[in-house]
Amino acid sequence: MLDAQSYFDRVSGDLSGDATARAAALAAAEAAGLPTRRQEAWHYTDVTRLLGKRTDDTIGAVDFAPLNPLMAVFDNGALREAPVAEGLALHDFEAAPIGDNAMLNYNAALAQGGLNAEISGALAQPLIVTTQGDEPVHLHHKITLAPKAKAVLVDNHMSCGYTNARFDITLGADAELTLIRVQQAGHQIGTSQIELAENARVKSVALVTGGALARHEANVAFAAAGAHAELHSAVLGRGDNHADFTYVIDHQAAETSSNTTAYNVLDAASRGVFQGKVIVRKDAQHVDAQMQTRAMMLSEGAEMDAKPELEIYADDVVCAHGSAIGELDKDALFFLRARGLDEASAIYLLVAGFIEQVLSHIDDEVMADSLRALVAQKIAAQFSIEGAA
Amino acid sequence: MSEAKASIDKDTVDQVAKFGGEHYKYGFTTEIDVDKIPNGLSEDIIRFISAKKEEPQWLLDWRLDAYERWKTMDEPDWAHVDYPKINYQDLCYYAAPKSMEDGPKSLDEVDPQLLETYSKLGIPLQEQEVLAGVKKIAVDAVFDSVSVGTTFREELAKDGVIFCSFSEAVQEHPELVKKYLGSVVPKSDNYFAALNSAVFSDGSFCYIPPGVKCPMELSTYFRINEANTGQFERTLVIADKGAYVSYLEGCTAPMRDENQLHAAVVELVALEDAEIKYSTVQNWYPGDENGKGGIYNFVTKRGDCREARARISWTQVETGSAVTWKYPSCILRGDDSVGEFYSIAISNNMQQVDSGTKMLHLGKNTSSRIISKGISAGRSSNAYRGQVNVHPKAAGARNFTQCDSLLIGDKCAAHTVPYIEAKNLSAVLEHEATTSKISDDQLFFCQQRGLDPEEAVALIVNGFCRDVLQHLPMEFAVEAQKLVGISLEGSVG
Repeated sequence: MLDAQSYFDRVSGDLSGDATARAAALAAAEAAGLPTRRQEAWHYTDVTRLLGKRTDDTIGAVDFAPLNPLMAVFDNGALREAPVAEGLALHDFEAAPIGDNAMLNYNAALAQGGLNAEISGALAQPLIVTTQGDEPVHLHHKITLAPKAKAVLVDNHMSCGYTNARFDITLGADAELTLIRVQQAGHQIGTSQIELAENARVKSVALVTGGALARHEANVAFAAAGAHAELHSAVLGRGDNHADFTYVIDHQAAETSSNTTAYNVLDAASRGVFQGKVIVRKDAQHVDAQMQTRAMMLSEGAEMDAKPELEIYADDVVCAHGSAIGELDKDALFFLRARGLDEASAIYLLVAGFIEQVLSHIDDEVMADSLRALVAQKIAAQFSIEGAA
Repeated sequence: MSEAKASIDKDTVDQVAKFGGEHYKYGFTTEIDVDKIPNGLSEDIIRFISAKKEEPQWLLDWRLDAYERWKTMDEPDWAHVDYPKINYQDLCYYAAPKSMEDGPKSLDEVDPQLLETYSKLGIPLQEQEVLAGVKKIAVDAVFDSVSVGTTFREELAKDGVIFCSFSEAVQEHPELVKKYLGSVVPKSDNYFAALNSAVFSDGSFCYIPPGVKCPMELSTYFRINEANTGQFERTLVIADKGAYVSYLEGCTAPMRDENQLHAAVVELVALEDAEIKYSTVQNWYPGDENGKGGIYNFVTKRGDCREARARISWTQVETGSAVTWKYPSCILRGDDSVGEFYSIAISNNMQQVDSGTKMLHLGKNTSSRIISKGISAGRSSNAYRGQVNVHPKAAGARNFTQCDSLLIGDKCAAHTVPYIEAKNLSAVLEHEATTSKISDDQLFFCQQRGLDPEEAVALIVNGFCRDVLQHLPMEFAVEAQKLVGISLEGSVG
């Protein structure tokens, strides 16, 4: 990845689409270079340093089978399995134009493909996009929900390598999307552009249980009244994990609302980053934007950086953010120990309960249970205890 | 340029050139008798300023080093403010103490709007004249001349408190100045601090000896010979072991001021068990309704709780200036030290404020508390920018932050940008922020009980600010309360 030009020269023959446009995108990306800490949006995430790091995270299988899902599997960037369902149309890959975001320009230059899906009705089964393998991968997904369409989309990241993923998500009027994301390992820089039309609703629940670099960036634009977004994230950090959730929540229209929560459990030398910027544009009256960040520090060496921002240009709004960082609640631990739990089980309960605050936002209990099982497995491995009973 | 002025300028340049060498062949005195030196900044100008103030060589070297560093730095552009580019070579870096000749001859010549504000604040007539810069009334006339000053000084001297102008301190207490100058805000700390370090004009120096509780609240307001400290003010306050001082800066009344750029530096040093309480009321000219004119207030304020159990508290009421760029900070180095920041920032019309604080937790069991109230009205922009950083070794650190914004009208903006960085397991950090407006219900309720809309807004805003106002020294608090109301005039109805 670091030598993008030689990588491009090697793979460009296999890439579809306009080679000149791709070369131009690469030139733009290379001119800007990888983001550095001098850029405000990357202040807490040193990409170059983190890309050189390796972690020993393992990939636990998340059992989605009970959900009978539609699968789209990208194995080292190549689509191995394509979903077929009523109300779901797959289109050819479309190249992205050059923008001012270096990571997206790299993506435009090097994208091997991606899912270009149009959802026209209510999808009965969840659509799972799995990314696996250990090679550098650039994917550009485009998910469009027609007015009144309804879907559950899972971004199941199981790769151990480097992934630059772009998701362009557009919701038509009254459309509803539940977006579940899981990252367990590897280096991922994911950028999602989410656009919401009138009364469109998106609910994103993200779980990061590992990875030397997990950067999840989401830019949510509320284009019309009634649009609502919920962005919930949970991080279970161990070892040298670095998990960064960066959101720009842009209330461009009046009568829109958002609710953001971030829960980080940080053990060993792991680091959690949360940057959430709520913008309320001029005349976007009656916006309700809430944001909460919580971090539980379990070890010396762990670090949490939170930057919940408000940028408000309209007066009749209700906006608030809160942030709390602290260690494991000793009183709660004592309470559980007094009731006969050993220390490890007590910690397990407290940590699982903390993460549950995010997982409980998932409406589909079967889906939520499959993630709970993953969390239990990860916590058990971390504290060498038997997991959920 | 008139001939006379040209020749003076040339003389000045020649004189300055003479000081160019490393050695002060003629001592530190100079015969130059001009009010102003040519605009622009160079080594020669710095040598001139230093010579004019008869400073020792080490201080000149310090200034020159700051200048060298300043030249390599870029003006910060990350703040949420927007102002025309400043041409630093077009500013005058030294003005002799201003004569009263240019000022208005009597209160009749003073802007009636300004007078109205004074009377609303309840400022006595004679005091008004001083504030408005009326000719031939020196500040001492108001405070009964030298007597007040000397009485204060005698009383302070009894306890061993040193309170004097910065220039005096350089002459009389060089060992203290040398030891502490730049020890909290290094000369290359940031662009404006470096500029200040190179060209600082004057300011206040205060030293409280061990175990002394300063018998009175020290205030620049009462300082007779500090009336014109210039645009590059430098303040250094040191509280030795177990000492206590409360220091008031500025005043509630709008001050006439000719300088557009203010780049001050304030350094506080609190040693073991010492406490410094620093209160500011800033009400410089904010420019007119269309944002024309107004002061740029680019200030670096930092306190260092250098030893165990030290305590530094910043309280500020910011209502003036066209552009404010100001982050009074605390370095909590000593174990069990405490930092506090209480702020009210009001912006109206076209004012822009980017202010906040930094709490750097380095010692064990340090705690900090931040209460910030931002009020935006008119077409102004008001940003809170604050950092809470807990160092890996700062076990037991504790922070509570609350920043609330109040919007009055739909053309203003309010921003909150907190940076919360915890690198220690046992840190407990809490942050809360809200943004709201004065509700129609509240306004209606007040008006129904006979208040006019402006009184109603003042009442509600004062309630909103109460948590901060109660941390101001008594006499400041009463004036500040009135000021809050006055600053928001014209924002409703």
